[in-house]
Amino acid sequence: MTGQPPAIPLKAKDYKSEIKPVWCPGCGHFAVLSALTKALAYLALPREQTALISGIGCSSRLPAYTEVYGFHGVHGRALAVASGLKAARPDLTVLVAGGDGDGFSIGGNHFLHACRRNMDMTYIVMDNEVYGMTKGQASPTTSPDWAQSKLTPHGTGIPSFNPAAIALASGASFVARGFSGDPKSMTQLLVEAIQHKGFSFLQVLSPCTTFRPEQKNWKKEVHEFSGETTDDCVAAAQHIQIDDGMGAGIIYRRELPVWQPVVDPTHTVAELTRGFAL
Amino acid sequence: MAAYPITPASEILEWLAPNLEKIGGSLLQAEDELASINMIIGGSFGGVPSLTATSGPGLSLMMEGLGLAVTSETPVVVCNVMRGGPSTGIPTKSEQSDLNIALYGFHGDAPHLVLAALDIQDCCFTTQWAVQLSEEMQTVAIVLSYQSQGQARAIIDPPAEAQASGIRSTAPAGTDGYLRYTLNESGVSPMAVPGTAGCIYTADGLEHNQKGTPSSMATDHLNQLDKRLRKIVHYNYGSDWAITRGEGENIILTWGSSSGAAFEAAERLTQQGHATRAIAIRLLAPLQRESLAALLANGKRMIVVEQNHGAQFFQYLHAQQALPGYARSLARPGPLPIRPNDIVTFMMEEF
Repeated sequence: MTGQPPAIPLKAKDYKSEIKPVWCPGCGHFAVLSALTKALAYLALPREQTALISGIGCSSRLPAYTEVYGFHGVHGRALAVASGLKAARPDLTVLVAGGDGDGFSIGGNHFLHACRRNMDMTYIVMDNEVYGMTKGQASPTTSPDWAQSKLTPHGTGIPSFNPAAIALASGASFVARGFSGDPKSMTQLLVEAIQHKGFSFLQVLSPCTTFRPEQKNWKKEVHEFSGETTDDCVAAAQHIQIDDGMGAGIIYRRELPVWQPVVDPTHTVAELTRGFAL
Repeated sequence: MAAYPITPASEILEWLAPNLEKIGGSLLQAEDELASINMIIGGSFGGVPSLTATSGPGLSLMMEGLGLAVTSETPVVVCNVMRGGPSTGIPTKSEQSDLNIALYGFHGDAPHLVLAALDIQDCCFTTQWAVQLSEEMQTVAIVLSYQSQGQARAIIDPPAEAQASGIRSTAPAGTDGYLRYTLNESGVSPMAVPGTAGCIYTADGLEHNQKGTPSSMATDHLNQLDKRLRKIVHYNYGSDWAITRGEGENIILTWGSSSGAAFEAAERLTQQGHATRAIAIRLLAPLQRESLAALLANGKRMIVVEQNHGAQFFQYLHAQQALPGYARSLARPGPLPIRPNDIVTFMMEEF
């Protein structure tokens, strides 16, 4: 089943499907799609050996727009589907995409355990600090005083979730932050995330121009990450706390044991069955 | 396999974890049942037959994932070892009270398979059959077992092997104009396994067209609903869907783990001069209505036996218009098992 490298190198457009995205004009996700296809082309990954898994939300529509195997599942469970796929098919390059609500709220538990499990996959969270598909509610990464949602007219009043800090604390071996408004750097981050052996977490600041128009200012606010890339989790934790949450770059990268289920086929089913004989 | 520990299903997991890896499989301990069902969906999407085991509370958590498996046509099997419910209920005792969730727990129209093991030995046959059916029809199969089966030890004869092909229809590389959810007569459309060149698609829990592209068109919805129903209705299940023992105008109809008591009660009644047949149903959904009607022919008295408070099986059969008007319900909750004498006494009151 292993695909042969194509004779003619694939271009970024070869990783794009014919389906037109449902995203709003100006959505940051267009740039993520573009950067992802460029990264896949750069890495020359065979399309049939690559799988992109997602949950529900604007960003989770990504798989259908790419020309790789895709699974668009239910809200919050993309990492679980991806973990089962990787366990069953370690030969595949497994990518997971979703939003801040999908990954950090309804899927929060899977995020913790996927980081901890450190299976070899790449998780891209397109963070726009809002639920876009349900028309503008606060997400875990929304600042506590954002009062534009009818659901939380006084703001959430709850401190926002720090994805990089949680990923680091939970055991992810690659933690990075990118910005969709800087597609070149983001492509590079995606390449490095996919090449990393283990669980790579990439938070992409991706503006929602419809429900968070003020995020158009992100291009002025995003800056290079405050700290050097490190393999020291204490230093990385300090860097994350010092950074204002808008710093882009590779925060933490470390070679840690990659988990795959033990498969040791030493028996046939008939041999196991014979073990039941009296 | 992927699973989360739960009483009384953990015995299945604890035996399988060290043994599955010896034959090239694996068991992942998931962080919760939401993960375990979605993990096996991922494994099955990857082309590997996948299943999980749980009990009532876990099955409740899995329902959304099972709907995804139905809609995306990803074959998975869930063994649900029933315990007293609802909620935490009576975790260490038996009850046949998860029939309703197994039949009706999905939102939307979600045709799927429900099977029940008749006794300890039959757990092997029924689960094997469920995997075969699920793989062939690319759908969900829920197998209902029972605490006193799941946590018992017994000496049994080697179990029979289920005889369905169990072969998943897959798409060969380079299939021209590949459509993952193509409409055809059987309703089963070849599934491309990742790694197959030229058949790339995205599986979707959103309603979709034949290609798999999300669609909210009325025609696509109707066509795909029909397809997912057609494949399980038109399948030829053979004769393993039920077991009949004895003959006579008195009928005991039951399912799953009350079967042993029903068979014994039928024998005792027959010995007492009241010729009785007992019928135990193994395939609960889709209900084999015509075949059941044949088995119920020429009855005079009939009781429907099950171990739950709400007469779930009796109501299901009535909803399917599968019961004659004279059928009576013997439904009693756990944790005490239904004994043959309970059935004999109930039937004698009918005379």
